[in-house]
Amino acid sequence: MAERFILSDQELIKGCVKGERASQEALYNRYCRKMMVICQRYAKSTLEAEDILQEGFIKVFAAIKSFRGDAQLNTWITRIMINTALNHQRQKLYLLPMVDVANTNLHETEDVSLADFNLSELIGMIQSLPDGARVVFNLFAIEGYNHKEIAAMLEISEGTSKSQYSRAKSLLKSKLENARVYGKFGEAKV
Amino acid sequence: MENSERQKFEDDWKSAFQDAEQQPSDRVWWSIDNALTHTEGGSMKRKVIFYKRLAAASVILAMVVAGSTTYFVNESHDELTSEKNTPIQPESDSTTKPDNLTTITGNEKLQLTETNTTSRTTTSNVTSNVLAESTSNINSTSTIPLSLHGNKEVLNQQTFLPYDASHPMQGFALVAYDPLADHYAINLKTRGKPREVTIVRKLPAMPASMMAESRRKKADVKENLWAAVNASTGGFNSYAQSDNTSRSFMMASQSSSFNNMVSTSSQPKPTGNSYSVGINMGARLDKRWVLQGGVSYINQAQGYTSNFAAVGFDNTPKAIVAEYTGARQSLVAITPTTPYEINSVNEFVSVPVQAGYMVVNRKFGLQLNSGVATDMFVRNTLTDKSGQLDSFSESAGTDSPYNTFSWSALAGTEFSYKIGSQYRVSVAPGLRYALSPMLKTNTESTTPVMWDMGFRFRYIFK
Repeated sequence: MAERFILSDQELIKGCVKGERASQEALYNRYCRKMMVICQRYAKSTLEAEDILQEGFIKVFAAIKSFRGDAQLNTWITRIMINTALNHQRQKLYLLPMVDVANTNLHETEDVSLADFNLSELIGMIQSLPDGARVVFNLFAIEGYNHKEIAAMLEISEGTSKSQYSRAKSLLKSKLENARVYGKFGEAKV
Repeated sequence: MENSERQKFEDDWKSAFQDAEQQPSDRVWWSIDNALTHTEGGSMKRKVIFYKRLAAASVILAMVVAGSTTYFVNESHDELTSEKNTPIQPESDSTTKPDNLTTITGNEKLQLTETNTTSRTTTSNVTSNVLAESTSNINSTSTIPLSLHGNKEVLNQQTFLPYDASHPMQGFALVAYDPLADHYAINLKTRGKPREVTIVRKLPAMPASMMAESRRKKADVKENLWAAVNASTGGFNSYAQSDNTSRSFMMASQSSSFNNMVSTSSQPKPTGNSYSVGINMGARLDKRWVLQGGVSYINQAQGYTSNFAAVGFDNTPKAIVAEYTGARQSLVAITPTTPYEINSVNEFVSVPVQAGYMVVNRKFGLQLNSGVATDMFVRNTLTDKSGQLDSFSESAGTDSPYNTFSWSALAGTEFSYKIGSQYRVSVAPGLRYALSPMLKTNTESTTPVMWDMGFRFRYIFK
């Protein structure tokens, strides 16, 4: 019986445009879990991620009249979430602007498979990065933007973007290696 | 170049988050729902605020009018009482009267007493020059004797009565006199014995409009018993958007699309609409106090968003909200759905008893009402707005989540206009405050305040 209530994205959009709360809630329920992960990657904590998610969905419902279906709904909502997250981060970056950091090539580590870690652990590692490095890492490694685009988005130089990414990458490799060797609780894995 | 930057490291991270999902807390949707309600409910809020302000303004206006009317009526009453109890007598004892004053007749003497010592009064002898005497005696004494000279039928006495706006009206006397009496005296014929001519005019102790009102009251005493039909429409607030009213419970899912325990919830809208129709009787207990009672049918409608449905013994899915968790034994199963909107309608029979105070009871009437009502729950009907689910109805009873009886406090104002001698139409803004909860599971009402605008048509028995 539940299946008869599964509405398509287009039907949900129509309901949202009319302001129907049931459609808005259905749309939220359909995408909130996926968007929560995106918000968690950009935020420093789960609480901050939920704030971004809330603000992002309010923007989605406010702007859904302008959605013309050129892109997939999922892509459109993801873009709004990332922009909302960047706005949050810009406030921090304004206070602590990103600068070129020394390309600290830490000791070369052997590749560690991410499959050994669950989602929460990976999110925890990203959240532990410095603000600037975390944003650049997300945009470059996961969203797939290049450094030129990132530089334009964050109003920084391309070199700064590269150096911030390099720093993020080194830190993450180090965290992965440490986690592999010492385990979650600091104990060496056998 | 950029592609070459992307190595296995980046691809691993991207694929790790490709289809990742994490459930946010319920707090997020509630906050979004609140924000959406706040932004999109502008017009509804404006209507609600308008009715609230109208009701508040009516009550305040009624109280101000009642207070000021009561004050002025009491003032006038005191003045009348004071006037009746205070004869026009001199303050000073008769033994202090000067010997050279001549009285009009043996014991007929008019003395006018001024309690205000700063006011100017004049005493003069009958035979003396009027102006000279009067001038010389300004501020001299507060006792004014009047006398009659010879056979002249005039009062040859001049009295200057000061105009004092602050002076109370009681005991105010005017004495007629003719300043040219000496000139006319020769031509006046004497007829019979001299007579005292004294004109004392009392100024009205209350405004003419109030005197007219008191006369009209005598004509209106027949408006003692009446019957009325009434209808009203309004709205109410609920504790919507708070954690208390978004009722949810965990249940085992029967659908493959839900993996584990599913949190089902139903959230009421923050406002609802209501209407009522009824009949009542009223009787006047006193000049201004009335007692009214009757019976009304009340219909309260409120929207809900629910994400689950119930299956009854007839194996059809029905719209349901979380309040029915206590009545689930009458349902075969509950199954999750995508959120859908429900119209929840509560029906009551209400028996109000109100005391009223008639502030104004003329062609235009103003009455303040206050009382209590016993509300008997009839039924609640849940209807899926999309029409895909059957309606679900719950009446009062031991298995019902609703209390059979609940209590409400009533307060309102009634502005009326009399048509002919036996009809009166009125507009009655009012408030209804729930004293006891509608639901058995609650300790407080979820719809504590209702406001409405009523229209009444009253037939007055002869």
